[in-house]
Amino acid sequence: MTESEIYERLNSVFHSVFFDDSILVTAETSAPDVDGWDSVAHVNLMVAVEGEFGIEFTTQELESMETVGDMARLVAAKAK
Amino acid sequence: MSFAALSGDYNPMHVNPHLARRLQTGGAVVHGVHAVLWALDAALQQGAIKGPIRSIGCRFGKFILVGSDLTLRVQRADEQGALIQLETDGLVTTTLNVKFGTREQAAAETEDGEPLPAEPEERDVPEMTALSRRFLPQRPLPEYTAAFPALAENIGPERIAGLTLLSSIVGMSVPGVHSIFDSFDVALVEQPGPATMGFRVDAADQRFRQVRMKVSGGGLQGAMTTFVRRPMPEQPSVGALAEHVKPDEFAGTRTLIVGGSRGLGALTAKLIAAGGGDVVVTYALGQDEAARVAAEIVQFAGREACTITRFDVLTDSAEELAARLGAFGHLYYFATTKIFRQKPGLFVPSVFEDFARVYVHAFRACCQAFLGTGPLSVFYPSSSALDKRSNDMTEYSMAKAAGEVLCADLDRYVANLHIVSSRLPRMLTDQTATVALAKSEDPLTVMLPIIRDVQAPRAAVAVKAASA
Repeated sequence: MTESEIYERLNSVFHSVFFDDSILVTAETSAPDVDGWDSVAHVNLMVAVEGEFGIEFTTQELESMETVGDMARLVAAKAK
Repeated sequence: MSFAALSGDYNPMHVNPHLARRLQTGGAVVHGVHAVLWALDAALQQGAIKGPIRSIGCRFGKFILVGSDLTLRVQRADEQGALIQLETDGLVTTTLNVKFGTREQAAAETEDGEPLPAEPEERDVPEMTALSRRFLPQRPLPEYTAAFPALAENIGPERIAGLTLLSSIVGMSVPGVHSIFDSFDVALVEQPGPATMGFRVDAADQRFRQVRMKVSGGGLQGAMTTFVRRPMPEQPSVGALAEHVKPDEFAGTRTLIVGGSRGLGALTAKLIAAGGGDVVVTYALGQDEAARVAAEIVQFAGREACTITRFDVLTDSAEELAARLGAFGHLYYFATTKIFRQKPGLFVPSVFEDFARVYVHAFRACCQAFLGTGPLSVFYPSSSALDKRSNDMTEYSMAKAAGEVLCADLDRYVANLHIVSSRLPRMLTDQTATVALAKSEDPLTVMLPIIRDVQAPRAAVAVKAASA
């Protein structure tokens, strides 16, 4: 899976979780950049990313993710 | 008829304001599904949306407190569908993604339905794995039509009953009493058979305390996502806490605990009493809880080691309290207000003012009122939120930061006033018993060293540099 494919699929996940097709994520995107990305939405986002890529994050990995870039790196490492 | 009666969802967070006060919401909240049905019915009645509804996606973003005003906004609407938002005080609470069109066919559900539980069931996350049940509507179908006539014309009373049963499944069965309904996505289908609603748990995720379910019945098929709140923390008994202190460690001390009916204040009262000290506990609303703390302490100590008195830091006079209660050598200020707020922006001035009133002005008033001729040691709980916080803690952190500066200057410049201020880490208390990933520390481990510091004897100082 290429990096751009990962970002494209992450973008779709964001659209679905936040009901907003206008979201365009970058590596720097984090919670303050997306309306409604609070702690509960964060959980839904993590679950949706896991479902999209068929992976599971550990508790440590979940706590370490702050940006979409962090997410993409972990997805790339796990979804081989 | 109330929505609780129509749906059968009598979860205490909706119907018991006294119990709901101790939850993260701070008060009773409206059934999310009630708001959804109201919104769809109103939008249809006013012609803001048209067309046969074929699917509903719903995200419950924020709680709606009972008594708040709700605004319905149709953000967009065309032949394909509509995006509807519900707002209260400028905050989006609920988002609905509605699609119109032809409904697909689905096979009938063959399983019989059972009545809803009369009381909300209680389970923890692992016990919910692979559970499945099917329920009957709480009321006769015409009552759903009467409640939401325009919506009934569009989707039929069976599907309205089915949607109310989503609420009841969550609030009364799985997750049950500790539930939070997060979202649902349902397709409206042409499905023969009686109006029942069944669920099957797909995943019970212990990491997030999240339970995801498939639902089907009465012309609806889809999924929903819920969370299981951590049960409200139970405090150790005085007897258990006594194992951590020497029986006379705090003997001879007289301590005032402002806000001692529950949480850290109650824990502090119990520890000091277990160590032989006398405490007076104040409460604003939790008289029963304060009385229970006092009764437990008195029974343990075999004497009147704890008394209680009502004191609301925002409305009652600290000077009068001091005149009534007399002198103390030690004061713990645990007065607080609702910390986690649903608010429409990063910094809301009125929210900051609320926090400043409790954490700065009222604190100073207490210090001033109880500063007598002898030494007074005070504990002021600041917060680790000043070091690291999410985007909804700005006003709270600012008020605590102001409180820290006040503490430092009072301690430095006012004779006989010794203030211990500590940035407490996140601990599992009523206010923090949330669902999402949050590490928390043990309150006993955090508070005992602080209490030993505050209770330590200090000599009186003759020179007065400033008044409080």
